[in-house]
Amino acid sequence: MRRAHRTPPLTSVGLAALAVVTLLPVWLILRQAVTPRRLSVDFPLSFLPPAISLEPIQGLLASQSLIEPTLRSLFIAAVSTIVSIALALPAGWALSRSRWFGSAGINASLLARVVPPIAIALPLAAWLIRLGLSNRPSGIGLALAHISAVLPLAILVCHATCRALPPAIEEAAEIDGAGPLATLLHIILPLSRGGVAAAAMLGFLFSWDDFTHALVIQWAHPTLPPLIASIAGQGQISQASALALIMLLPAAIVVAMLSRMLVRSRGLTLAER
Amino acid sequence: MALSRSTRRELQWLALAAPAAVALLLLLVAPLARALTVALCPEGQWGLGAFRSVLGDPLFLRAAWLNALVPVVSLALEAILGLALALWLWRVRRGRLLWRTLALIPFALPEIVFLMTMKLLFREHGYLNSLLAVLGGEPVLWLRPESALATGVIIIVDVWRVTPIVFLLVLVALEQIDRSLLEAVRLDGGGTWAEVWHVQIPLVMPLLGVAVALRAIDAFRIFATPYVLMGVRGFPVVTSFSYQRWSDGEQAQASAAALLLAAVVGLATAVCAFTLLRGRRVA
Repeated sequence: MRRAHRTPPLTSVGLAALAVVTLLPVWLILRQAVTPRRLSVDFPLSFLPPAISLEPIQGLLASQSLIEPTLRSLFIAAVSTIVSIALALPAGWALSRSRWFGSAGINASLLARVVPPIAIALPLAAWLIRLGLSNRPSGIGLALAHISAVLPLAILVCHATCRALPPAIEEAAEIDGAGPLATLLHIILPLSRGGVAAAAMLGFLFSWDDFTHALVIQWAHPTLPPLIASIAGQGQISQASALALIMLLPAAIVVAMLSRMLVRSRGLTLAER
Repeated sequence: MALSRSTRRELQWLALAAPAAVALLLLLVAPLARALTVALCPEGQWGLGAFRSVLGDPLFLRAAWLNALVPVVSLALEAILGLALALWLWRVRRGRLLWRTLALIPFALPEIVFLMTMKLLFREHGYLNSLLAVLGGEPVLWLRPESALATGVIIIVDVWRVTPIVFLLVLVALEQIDRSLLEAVRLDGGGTWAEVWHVQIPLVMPLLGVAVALRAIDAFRIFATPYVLMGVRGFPVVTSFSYQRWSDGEQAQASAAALLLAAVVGLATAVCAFTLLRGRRVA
């Protein structure tokens, strides 16, 4: 027999408040992105759009400030993620097996997470300028900076994943004549794809969202975050909001994936409990 | 020369880890070393001059104070609110997927997008003052430089964004608690509060500690929130002070400030990690 669940009134009020607090930022972006530019900053502002128009989004589609920065952001995120994973998976595997330097490598990766981005970004920017890699339209210099931030995290995730794999599988592959690279590609990579996917997701989102490094290294040909900040800083709120809608797409995908995890979370086990 | 099997193994691991190690040396260690030489040896003269002038700069001292105050207060609030939210939503059974997903949204938004909406909300001609105006109140300068109110707003914005991740971690821990423990409390005649106090909170405490420690590393590196909402002069923190000095061409001072922050946070993390590890070994 199913018991009828009644939500108590106090709970309903709480849930409504929660919805307001969490949805307000998203609502403000949507509200500004459909408000005609001439009405966008009329004081007092109403929480509902005074008039609905596709003008900001159309203006964005027509202007140069959409395609190029979006492609640049995507390119930088893809390059830094792929390179980080390609370096981190063999390193994480090696650290999970090595008796000589396993724990030292993990401690170094943990320590690397402590350094403030600005302490790396400033000297890195000076070097990239000297090498002619700063402010390239492709954003390759910023991709290098993002690798410096993503790689330690990716090593930690790959290490945790590889540690859970039984070494017997690799030994069997070795007896069958597989070299370390073949074992990495055909045994470790398929078995650790969950961890690799998680590291890739974290890396991609870091690069996509990054503001600090981008501000210092890639100001002449900006990626989306500094561009949104500067457009909003010039008072063009509607256009900045329309651009922000584009930035939300990967975030939406991540929320969808996380919520799947929330439902299944009872099946998850933490390594250290 | 014949190497033993285990030595050959270790050399193989070394070869696999080498590319990542080289990348980190070039992209992380070398820039840090460079920052150190720039700070210690600005014009071919070794010395602590840059550190001394930074430590004597009133703007830096203000930045250092705010850089300590804001993270400590927001971390405490985030831990309490995240725990309370998780304990509460864990008990909401109807539409739980919807509510749990909803609670994550502020953290899932790109930082700059979230901060832009906060600026729209709190600025002088923003939504909050619009609401006050409609209700017949006077506008409030939420982001006035050097005001306690602005400090409060920065903390609220940080809590708004970070509480969801603490909530998520605590919720995962709550889901793993063995249901029979809760049933035991019920059999002993305990109610909801007994379940919360005697089973759930004690069991999620270790994970909450780890979550707060991890968030603390990010919290002390605070940059974008005060920078976007108020600018460097309006609400200085150590990283934005460093960025400002760098933009002014004062590279030595910029490096010195960033290194001071890295040293303090690194030391604190090392002490925390050491205490946590020692605690685990005793337990």
